[in-house]
Amino acid sequence: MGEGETFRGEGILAVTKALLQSGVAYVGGYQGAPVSHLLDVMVQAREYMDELGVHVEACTNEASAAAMLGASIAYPMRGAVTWKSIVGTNVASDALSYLSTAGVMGGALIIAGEDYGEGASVALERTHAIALKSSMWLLDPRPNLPSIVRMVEKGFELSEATHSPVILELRIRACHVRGEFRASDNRAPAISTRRLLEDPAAFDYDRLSHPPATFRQEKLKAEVRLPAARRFVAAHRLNECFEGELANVGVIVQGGLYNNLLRALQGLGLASPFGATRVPILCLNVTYPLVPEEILAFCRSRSAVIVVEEGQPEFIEQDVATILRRGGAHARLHGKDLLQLAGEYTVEVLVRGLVRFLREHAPRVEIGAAEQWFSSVESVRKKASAILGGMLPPRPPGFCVGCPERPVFAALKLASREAGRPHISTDIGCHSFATFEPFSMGNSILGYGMSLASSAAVSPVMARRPLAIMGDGGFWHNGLLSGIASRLLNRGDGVLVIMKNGYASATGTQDLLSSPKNADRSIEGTLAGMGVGWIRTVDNYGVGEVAKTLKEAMTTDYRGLKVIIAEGECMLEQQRRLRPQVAEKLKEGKRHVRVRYGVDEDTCTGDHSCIRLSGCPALTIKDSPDPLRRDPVATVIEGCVGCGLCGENAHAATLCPSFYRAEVIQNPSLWDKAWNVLRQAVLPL
Amino acid sequence: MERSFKQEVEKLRLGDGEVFHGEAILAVTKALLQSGVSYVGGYQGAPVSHVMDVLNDARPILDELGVHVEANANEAGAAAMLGASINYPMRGAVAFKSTVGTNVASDALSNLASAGVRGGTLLVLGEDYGEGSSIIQERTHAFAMKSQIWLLDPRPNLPKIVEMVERGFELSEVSSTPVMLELRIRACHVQGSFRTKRNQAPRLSKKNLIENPDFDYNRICLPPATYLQEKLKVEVRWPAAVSFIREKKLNETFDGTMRDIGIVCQGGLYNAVIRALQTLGLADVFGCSKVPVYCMNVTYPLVPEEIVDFSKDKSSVLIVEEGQPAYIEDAVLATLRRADVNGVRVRGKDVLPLAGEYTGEVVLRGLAEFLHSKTEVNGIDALKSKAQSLLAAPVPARPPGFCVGCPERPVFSAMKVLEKETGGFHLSADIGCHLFSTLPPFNIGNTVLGYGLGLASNSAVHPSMRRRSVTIMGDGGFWHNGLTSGIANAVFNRNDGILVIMKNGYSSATGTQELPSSPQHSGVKQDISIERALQGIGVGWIRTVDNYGVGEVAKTLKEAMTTDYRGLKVIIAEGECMLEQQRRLRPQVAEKLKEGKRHVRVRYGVDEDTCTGDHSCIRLSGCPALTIKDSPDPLRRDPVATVIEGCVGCGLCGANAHAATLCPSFYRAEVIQNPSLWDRFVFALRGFFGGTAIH
Repeated sequence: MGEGETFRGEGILAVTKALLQSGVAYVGGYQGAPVSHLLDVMVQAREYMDELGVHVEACTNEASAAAMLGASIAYPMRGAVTWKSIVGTNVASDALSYLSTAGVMGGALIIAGEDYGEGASVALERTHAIALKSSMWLLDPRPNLPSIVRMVEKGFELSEATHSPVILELRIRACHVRGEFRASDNRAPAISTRRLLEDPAAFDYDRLSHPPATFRQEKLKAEVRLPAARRFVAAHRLNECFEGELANVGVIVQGGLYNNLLRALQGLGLASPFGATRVPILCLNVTYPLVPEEILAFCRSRSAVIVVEEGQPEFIEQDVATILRRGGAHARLHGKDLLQLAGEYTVEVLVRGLVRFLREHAPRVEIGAAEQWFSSVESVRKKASAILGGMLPPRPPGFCVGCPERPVFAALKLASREAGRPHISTDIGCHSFATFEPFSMGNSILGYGMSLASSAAVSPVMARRPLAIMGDGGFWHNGLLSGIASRLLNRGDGVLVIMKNGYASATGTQDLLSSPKNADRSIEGTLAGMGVGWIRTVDNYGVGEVAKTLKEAMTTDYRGLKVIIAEGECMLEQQRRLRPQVAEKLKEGKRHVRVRYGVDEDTCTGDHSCIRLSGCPALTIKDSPDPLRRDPVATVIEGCVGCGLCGENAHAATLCPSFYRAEVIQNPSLWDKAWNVLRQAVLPL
Repeated sequence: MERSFKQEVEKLRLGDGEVFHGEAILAVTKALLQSGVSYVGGYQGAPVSHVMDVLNDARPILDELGVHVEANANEAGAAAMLGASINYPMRGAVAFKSTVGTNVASDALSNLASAGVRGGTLLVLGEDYGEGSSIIQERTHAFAMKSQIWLLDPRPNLPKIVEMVERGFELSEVSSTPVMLELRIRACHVQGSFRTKRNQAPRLSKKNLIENPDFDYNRICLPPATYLQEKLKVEVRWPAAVSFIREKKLNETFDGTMRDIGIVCQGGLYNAVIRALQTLGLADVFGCSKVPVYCMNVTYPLVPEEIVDFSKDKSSVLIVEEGQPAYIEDAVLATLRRADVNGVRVRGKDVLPLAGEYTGEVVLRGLAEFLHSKTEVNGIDALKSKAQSLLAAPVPARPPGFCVGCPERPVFSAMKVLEKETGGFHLSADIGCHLFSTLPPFNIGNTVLGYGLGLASNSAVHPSMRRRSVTIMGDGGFWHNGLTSGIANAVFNRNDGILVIMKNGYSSATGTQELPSSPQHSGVKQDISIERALQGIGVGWIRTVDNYGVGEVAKTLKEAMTTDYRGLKVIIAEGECMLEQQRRLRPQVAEKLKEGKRHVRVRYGVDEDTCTGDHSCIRLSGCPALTIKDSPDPLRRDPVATVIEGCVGCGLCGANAHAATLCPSFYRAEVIQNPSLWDRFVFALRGFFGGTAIH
């Protein structure tokens, strides 16, 4: 899309477009909500990227991605990387320390998906802390496409003007907000895969983060780069001040919360749907560093100001407090005293805080609308619960239909019956759903790829041998070293189950080194190469076999690390791959057999052991057709993909023989038809 | 291992009421055992390497107590190990260098802090900040705030440090929160004594096994439990910690007669503050100060009541807080503002520098400005200018460098030789001894991005370069992080670069700790686990070279630079750490000599008549044993090269001269001790013919 055209779509795609408009030379990252799409789009657009000369890399972890930005230390190349924060920023933090200390010549932008609040899948922490720690500037644009795009472009300039990496923090809502902006032409980078550098950068000791250069770099951060950043932010008016008639009070808000704030002010009757506000707002599209002059200018004439800042600790509020005290401004400062300290700042939370703030400092302002707003919220809630007739049962996420990881936990349940229940160190990935019903397996999670490492001190003190579960994603991300190499170095005992489903599945089935398209044995090869002496590979759907192998690992006399590679391709991805092939076959009129499972409702005993060993959404209950039996029977519904686990479970656990396997034949051959005729003829006899 | 602690280890056995005398970091180790710790782990790095090294040497004592010790592959692994205390009431401790180690550990720490702990968990962190530091300058404080982990910063004094270890475990347990014990370089190495207690055998340990696992959904760091955990952090754990700190008086207030002013300092800086006050005549030799001091042995969380009480009746207060940003100063200001204490003027980063170490002089200057006293500072300036005039010129900088005989030096010599042919190439460096290549005489290395991250940092460089670029990684970095972040990444993304793995056999720069590929770990001299791991991951081009064969190394590098093979090319540069080799061989040699057995020692030298005096050999080596001396020839004024006593006979100088076709002035000599009859015969024969042994 070129100059003057209108881009319509999601926030995160607008960021992608803005990177190309900024002449980025390379892009990398690691997948994770809410920014997976950025990298997925780049990887899928590889041809076009080659045309522009942009190098795209899908990194094995965020540390690699951050280290990749090192190219901009020595060369005037713009680079961008993306990941989920806080977890990704954690993993990247060592490389970021070194990057920000050395400083950059080309603009370096980190697009961090801030996964905070009640939709988050990770530990609740703030990226802000890392920005402060390493003196990296933090952009937090208000969720609106033109603002986001401008902050990407200005972010590169800011990075270059101050020699510091810049973080663009996008919350879930900012990533997924829809809108439009006027596009400009993409810029081919000056140094790129199409315009190669002839010679390496001249040796420059001051670009190395190594003493004594580090001592000078630390001074540069405080004395040169920080003031330069403040000047740039002020000169380009990156923060926005929205005046309002209630000049005695004001709100200082993180850009990312601006939409919520406006919605809350609307609820109070103090703002219009178009954003005109009666309460003055200072919208911080840059939350680090703050510009003291801007803060003082906003606060000096007011009697009270509230800082709206999500998460804890309250970095911005404390910073503002220092600025006001040093600048001699006497505005009364509020923030976390009126708003909750932790948790997401939804509109309702903001309305409650603003009501307290305005009652105290603008008592004559009519905010009766707030009462109406609260009561309307309350009445909707009451109505909903009246209709539902009680609390809804929680619906935690779970394994997909046919997921190849479910059978492993079914087998583990069976093995535990005999060998005793082990301590299970679990990991990040789909397999962590085993912590929910019906398995409730997994005692702790310590981060992506960290399960085996987290059992290092459990293992020696347990009467029964503990178990660690790790996905192939976690294996390549971190687990190979933090877990496996460490256990080998310490000659420790233990059992590790590697779930090899072939992809980084939980983040959107991105490829791994060991993905099936490479028909790869690299996990086995690496383990054997490093010296693991006990390795077994099992087919997950063979529950009995898996249980036997698990039991063997849990009870064998072999001392040392025992690794079971539990093999079974991600069913979602398999179905995605097979579906077009099947459609093609059917279109061509070729024979196709589809396997489905079912429950014979006359045989079903109704004790539902089969469900407790599976939890498959396609295996559920229905009313018994037998008028003499009041308990419901098990049934397999339409979603079944024919993985066969229910039957396997029934067999391995010797449950009732009610499962049957059916083959649905489409485009039957003559032979099939003949069989069918024969069956129809014979069976009634 | 660089240092043996067999003697110090005995101090760990001290019982009730005895006196421990020694270094603070050893006192911490003793305090861990007094606290009944069940397991200890960590990753080496100054200034806390000794914690791990001592524990390794103390295995018999630990086995008696049932304490499990683990040498983790990296700090992430160490932090994850603390996960054992989430489910079970076991005390655990890990140690590493900060902030680098805390960076690497930070993801596990986020998860640990969110879930919360049942057994006390203590992180012993060596805060490597300031002008003796070997790493980037950042503060551990940031992680305490980010993840809500309490931060202890005891004043450098053994009884206080030991008390903070013991209280740290209790604090951790009453608030279900991990605790960090931040020890600066000076705190780790301060000497002193304290009265010991008997070691406590842990209640749950490898001697008292746990029968059944604990399952509690709320201890798992996954939503929706994480939402509850975030609320628990601020509503339950925080207040519990603050009231424990107040009740047990972990912070100290030292009253003084000058009631109108006061100093608030981080515990770790207390000694520097007192020294400055002494210099200003405001404290006596025993540390009694006229200026009241509020010493924060706990720097996170702060105790608002204590700060308000200390400040409210004063006209001004100085905050002494090292490093940036000024977290404590901001928090104190916010606290006072909230409590409506507006009369006191708070000074801090306005009179003290924002960044850099708070040395004695820096603190003195800041205090002098705060107290409007200039006299003592003028004294320092006078001393400095006197020293300058005596020296007449600045003392030359003496950066660290490769040891005598270091096996990594020849690899860079080979690169210098190669550069002449191929032209310059971009080199991504890594953390480890090999980073000394960035210093003269090599000046090789364009960037460094953290331990094991060299190859990853090259990933956007190589596609934009006409010539192939090179990455250096040590075997330490390889096992720490590089195998996944670097090599797996490069194979997956089809990187066409060159990686040189310096296989010296140990984590050398931190004190030659063991690695999975260490010679003694696998018990075979030629461990090949690196090679096999590379093959397993799918690296198709691997060469192993002997570092001291400079010509061969250069040839292999050239092959990697020019081959048509597309994909990652790995050269394993093999050569055991010379320090460690000497440590291993020295007792063997001594034994041999004692037994009167024949022993040949190789030394190199320069024939001063042949030496051209252009010193190319020095520019290709930088070995401290290869230096210059006055020419013996009265007609030549330039000095000649010479090999001094420290030479360990690695042969690099000769190999360099050969590979780079320099002048043929190097000779190899064999010093034979306890010569055999044959040696004597040859010697006599040579003497007869008047020959010398020139190689």
